[in-house]
Amino acid sequence: MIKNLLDIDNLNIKFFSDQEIVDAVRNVSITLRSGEVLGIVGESGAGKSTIGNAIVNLLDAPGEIVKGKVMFEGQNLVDLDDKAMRIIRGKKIGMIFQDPQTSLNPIMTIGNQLIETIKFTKNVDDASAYNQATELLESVGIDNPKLRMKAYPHQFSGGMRQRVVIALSLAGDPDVIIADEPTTALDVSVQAQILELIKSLCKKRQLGVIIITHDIGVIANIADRVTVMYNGSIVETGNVRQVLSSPKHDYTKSLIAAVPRADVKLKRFQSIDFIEGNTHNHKFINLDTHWLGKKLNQKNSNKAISINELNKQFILKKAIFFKNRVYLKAVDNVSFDVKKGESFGIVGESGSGKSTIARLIAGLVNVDSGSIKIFDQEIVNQKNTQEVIVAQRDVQMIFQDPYSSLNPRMKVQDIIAEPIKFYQTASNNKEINQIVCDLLNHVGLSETALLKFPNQFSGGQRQRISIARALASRPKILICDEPTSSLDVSVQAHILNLLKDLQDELGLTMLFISHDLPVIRQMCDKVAVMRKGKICEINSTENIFKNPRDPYTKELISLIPKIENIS
Amino acid sequence: MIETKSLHKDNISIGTNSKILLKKFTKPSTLISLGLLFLIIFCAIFAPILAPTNPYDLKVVSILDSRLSPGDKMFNGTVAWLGTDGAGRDVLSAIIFGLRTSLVVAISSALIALTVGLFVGLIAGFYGGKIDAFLMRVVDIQLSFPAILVALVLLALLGKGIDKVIIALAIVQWAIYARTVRAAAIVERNKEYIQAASCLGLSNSLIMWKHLLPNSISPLIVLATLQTAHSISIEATLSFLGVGVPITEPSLGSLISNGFDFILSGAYWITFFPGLMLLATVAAINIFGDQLRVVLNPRVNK
Repeated sequence: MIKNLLDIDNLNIKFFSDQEIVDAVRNVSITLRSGEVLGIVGESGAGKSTIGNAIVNLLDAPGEIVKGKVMFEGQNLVDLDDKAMRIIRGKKIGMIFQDPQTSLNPIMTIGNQLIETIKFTKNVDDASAYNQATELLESVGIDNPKLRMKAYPHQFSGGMRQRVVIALSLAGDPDVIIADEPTTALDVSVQAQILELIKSLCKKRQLGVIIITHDIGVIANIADRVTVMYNGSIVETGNVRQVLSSPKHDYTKSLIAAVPRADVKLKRFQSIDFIEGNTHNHKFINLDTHWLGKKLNQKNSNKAISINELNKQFILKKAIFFKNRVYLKAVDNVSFDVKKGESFGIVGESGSGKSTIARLIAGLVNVDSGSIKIFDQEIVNQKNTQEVIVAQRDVQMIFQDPYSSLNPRMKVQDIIAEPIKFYQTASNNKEINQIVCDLLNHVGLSETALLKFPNQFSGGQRQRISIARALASRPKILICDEPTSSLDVSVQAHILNLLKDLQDELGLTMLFISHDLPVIRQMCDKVAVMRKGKICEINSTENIFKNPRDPYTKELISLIPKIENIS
Repeated sequence: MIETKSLHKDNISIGTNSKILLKKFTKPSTLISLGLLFLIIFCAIFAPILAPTNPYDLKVVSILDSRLSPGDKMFNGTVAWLGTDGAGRDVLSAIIFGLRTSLVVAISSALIALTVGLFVGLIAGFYGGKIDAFLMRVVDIQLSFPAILVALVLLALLGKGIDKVIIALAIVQWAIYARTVRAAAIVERNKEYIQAASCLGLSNSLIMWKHLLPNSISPLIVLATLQTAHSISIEATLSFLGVGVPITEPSLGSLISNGFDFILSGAYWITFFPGLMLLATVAAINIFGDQLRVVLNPRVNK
């Protein structure tokens, strides 16, 4: 029997602060039926999490529901007081949060946390609470539940923890589950399992599930119906198949277009004009005459990066005696070559050592053994000669987190001018200013950015500034370590397009590190798949995606959430 | 969640904006302490103009005025509002001049300790490893002795004089700054902008000076205020014990110790008023420093 579980009617939420009032959610109406998964998708700032929090009255301090109703079992949840709401939260509506690490109590065993919740919600004695807890753990797919009851959260992997969180949210036999980005912190292979679990629980127990995510791939895999949000309002609601295959609203169309495709390689990402708004496209610079084109040393070598039997291990457990120390082999006998002008991708799950390789090449971490050659110049364990310094400077890095990769106390113009001043590659201040302006234009920002501080920019704009800074030392090799994984899809498309253009124009060699296979497919000519510090397979991108040879590569590729499956 | 993050970020930017920062000092206790602090500093700077008499001008001081109670008229006609001490000096004037000595000693020792601590902390936080371990063990050893004991020993070795007291107080305090800066520097050091800077090939000293220092200095502002209050009281203790500033330039501490001999004979004011002043100064700085911490830290800011 299908019934309406949750009726959100004309919900309006505002955030009040000293400076302004922000309309976080505007006139949102959503209906959730039993036995269905409703996806709410949107980019950061769209108000999707705010809705999730508002349903269970967990809005953060300056936020307030100014209008609207949330009807659940004939009650308006907006009017309930804290005590009544707490009972609803425990028994009727379960929550699953993004980070399984922080949503479990680290000093209580899994079993005790479950038993505590079951006793609170169901008023049963210890023995039957224990039995129910083991049953719950079994139902969320944890083997050996009796043994696992005694374990602490840190003894579980991320995916297992998320299973426990799901078990906790099921403890009170709720009718509704709200999952806020439940798989964002997890690897692809684990993500697929968790989504499968949520979906099967939903069907088996006839639950209503609201899944809040920024990832259209997740929606395509799990949801029955989808609500697309933009800037606080709903732009489109409907059957997943229908919305994804024939989107009506422009925003939905562009959102779907911006998702990197895993099946075919496109020349460019479709840009979404009405999102990152007033960033004009990057200006062309004539490299024959411009400063950026003047290279200090032209090299004819065809190998940009050449790595041979590289090793790096980290100490996990310290001890006085060598034999008692425990090491983690982050990079285990890795060798590969990157040709000049090539885009080389390294893909792998978290902890596979891909970022460590990037840091080793950039000289940020010391090498244990092996050799790294930049344009035939060995950089491992060398004296600081001019050649080594130049080789190091040829390699620049774009970091993952745009919020921490810029010095918050420096103006943008100083950030970009710093390498130019340090190496004295320009003759006077006037020339430096001109170069900084050109670089900013080149990455698609205007001169108004010069005097601002990094915190006045959005994530995408900051990433552009990082790119400009990297270009200011006139590198030949650009290492991009997950450059877009903390950005929204539309912004990601812009940044990836920019990187592609820069590579074409400046003839850069690119080492592109990502866990996101579709992004790798779009960006790279050649790919190395890494697992536990070792390279499983190196091949051209086409071959990796069409005929993966290694079983691990096959598994990874089969797990990519696909929108295309739907249409 | 991302929304709240960006809001939080904006908060920090507001926190660094000095105009809005001043607006946040609205609590009455803060305003009173801030007013008192300004008054104290003003008095210390303009002591020769503000004080009714110059207590160290032997031509003016007369033994006939000794131990007058508060409000009595002195021999030359000026009213001694807070009484006079055993040598016939006006207590009010002595306090104003004593304040000067106390503040000079406290602030300059705090500045020297801050500079030394900043360098040690930055180097320890930036380089890490063995350098860090060595420097921090030195800090641990330093901090495991009570400050007053170390200062006593140092002064016994160095001898008397304002400069010696300043040096002793700086040696006593640098370790606290070093430890605080190191903690902040380690947090900042692991952020990607520092890695980006070393990727650009900038020299270590430039990275420390231009990137690490400006971002790890904010906890020091609060610490420096609180430590200044602390060093005022250490200095007072030292002077009270007789190893502090010379008798010719008495601080609040030496004034207190000076009147101590008369307290049983009923001349309470010689000790009491300098003591009150010391209490007010230390309390004002502490309250201000506490409020500064609240304002500078957006997390506590409600």
